[in-house]
Amino acid sequence: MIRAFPWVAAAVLLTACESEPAPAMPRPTVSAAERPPQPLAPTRSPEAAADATLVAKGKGLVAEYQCNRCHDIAGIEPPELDFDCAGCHQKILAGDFDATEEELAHWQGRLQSLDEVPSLSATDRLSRTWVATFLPEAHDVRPNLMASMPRFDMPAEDAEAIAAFLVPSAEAPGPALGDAERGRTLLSSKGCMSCHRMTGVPSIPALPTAEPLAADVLARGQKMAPDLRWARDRMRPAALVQWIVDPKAVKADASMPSLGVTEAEAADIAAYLGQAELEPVPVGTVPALPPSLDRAVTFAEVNERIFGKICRHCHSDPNVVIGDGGPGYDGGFGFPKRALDLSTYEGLRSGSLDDHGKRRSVFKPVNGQPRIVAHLLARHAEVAGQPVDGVRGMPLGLPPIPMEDIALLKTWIEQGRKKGEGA
Amino acid sequence: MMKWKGAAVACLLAVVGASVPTDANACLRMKRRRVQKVDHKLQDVNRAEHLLAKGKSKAAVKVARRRFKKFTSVTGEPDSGKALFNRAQRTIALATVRADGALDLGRGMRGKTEDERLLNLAWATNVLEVQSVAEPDNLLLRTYHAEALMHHPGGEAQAAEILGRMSNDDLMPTARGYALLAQAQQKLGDVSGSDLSLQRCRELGEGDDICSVA
Repeated sequence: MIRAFPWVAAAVLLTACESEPAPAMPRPTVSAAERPPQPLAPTRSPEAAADATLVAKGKGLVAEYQCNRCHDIAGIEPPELDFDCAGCHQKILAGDFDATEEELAHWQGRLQSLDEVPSLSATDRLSRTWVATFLPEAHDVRPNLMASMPRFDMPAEDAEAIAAFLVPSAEAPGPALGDAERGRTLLSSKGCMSCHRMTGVPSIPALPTAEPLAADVLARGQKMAPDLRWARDRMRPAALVQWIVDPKAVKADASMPSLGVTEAEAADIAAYLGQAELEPVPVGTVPALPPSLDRAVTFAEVNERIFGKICRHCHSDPNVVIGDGGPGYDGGFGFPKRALDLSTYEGLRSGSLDDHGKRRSVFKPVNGQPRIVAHLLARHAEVAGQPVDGVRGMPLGLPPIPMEDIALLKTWIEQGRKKGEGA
Repeated sequence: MMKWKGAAVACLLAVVGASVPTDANACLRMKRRRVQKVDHKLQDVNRAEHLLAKGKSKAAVKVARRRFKKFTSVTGEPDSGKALFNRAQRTIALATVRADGALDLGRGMRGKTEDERLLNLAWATNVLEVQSVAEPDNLLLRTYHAEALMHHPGGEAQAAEILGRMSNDDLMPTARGYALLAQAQQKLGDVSGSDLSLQRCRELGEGDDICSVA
């Protein structure tokens, strides 16, 4: 789950990207006279230092919402391995996890998320206002990371306190902004678009960096690069310019390399990032749920395709896994205990706890679908930017389960939820 | 033991005899294998549960007892091992119930005489009740407790209450739970309720071996 405190950069990157060839020609741009700039972040007042009481409250909430299960956070201890989602994944990938070689090979072949997670250090470069707004309504900021920030059930006052903890300092006065059109050209010529994309503006050609980047630097940069459309809201303008010039001087573990951009050039780039006219974020479409299958579906098949592959990581009986049952069982990420065990047939049939602590079936209809199906469909709606009524999209912070697999689950339910062989 | 000695010698020779091409990772892999913790308790509990699910009560008890000598204690083991102890203990208790108490659980609990059999059943029922209360989120455990109650005179009313609630809320974890409910309802004279429970049992794909009222 999780990734992304889309913190990190807004900026600019690099290199020749052979896997993403540059478009032959940019779309025609409209002159500044025809399209007046939309000044955003640069026109607002710099943020004052956060209230110390709020900062302290925020630190406690960061622990409560278990942000450290995925993020390394300055001033917060990492969790035990049992609770360390990202650490566990990374140990498995590195071959350091205490398991047999066969188990490691099996997991390594399946593991796709949390290999990289932005650390929450140097977060003073971010806009506190944006952090507070983003947390309760998280969306995907880093399109090349599989996991994205989960959609928490977070009251605004909690988000404000966490934002105060992450961004406690007063904001430096905004720099004099440069020339936006020149900034757009620099985004291309400096190689930024080798890793970044910027949705909502005419396509910017991806040209190579002046100095070729090492393959691992390029790969990490591409994986972590945020969509630059968010930079104007995410980053404090002065910090944005600093970041573009030398990211690692701002954040030691930044995935973005320095590209030899001068401060004046960075001001031009920042001007474009802050002022370019943006198309609205498109509302996506939710693919249609295929009709139910006309063949027998076993629980073993559903388990292999859905529950065993993904869901059980957060929804397991702690007595069976001999450890943490995950946030979807024991509670976590600010969510109450649901005691939902999706690691076994019997656990699935035993339902989950509702908001009042009473057990309910996961098969009872919600929004016209069995509850468990409604949660999976809701994730499609969340990702498409469509409203969701009453249920949280699952899997939390991960790409939606394919509609074909949801149809498989629905068919199994309609066929009587039999256990069958092999379960 | 001999295998490890042999492996150590082989690694030593590989290091000393540098002129001989070797897979340098072999020793490292061996070392890692050696330090990996093999949790025999967990393996045995998993195996015991599997055996019980296959209807092999006696074998399940034998395997579960192997690592948990003091399995009759209700206080269990220290917290660090409590979850595993509880699983082993409930497996033994449920196996005992399914054997109607006629299982050898050790000294004083041989299950051979009528008194010993009833003692075993009383112990098993108590274990399952205590665990069921301690783990209210575990509905499967509730069905085990209800199953134990069915082996006591007059226990069917309480069993029907436990299982009926789960059935009404569509929370019955197993087909066997419906079959037990059907048995309890039949004993209580609720024929239509019993038939409905059996029907639900069969809808979960089980046959008469599970979905019947003995």
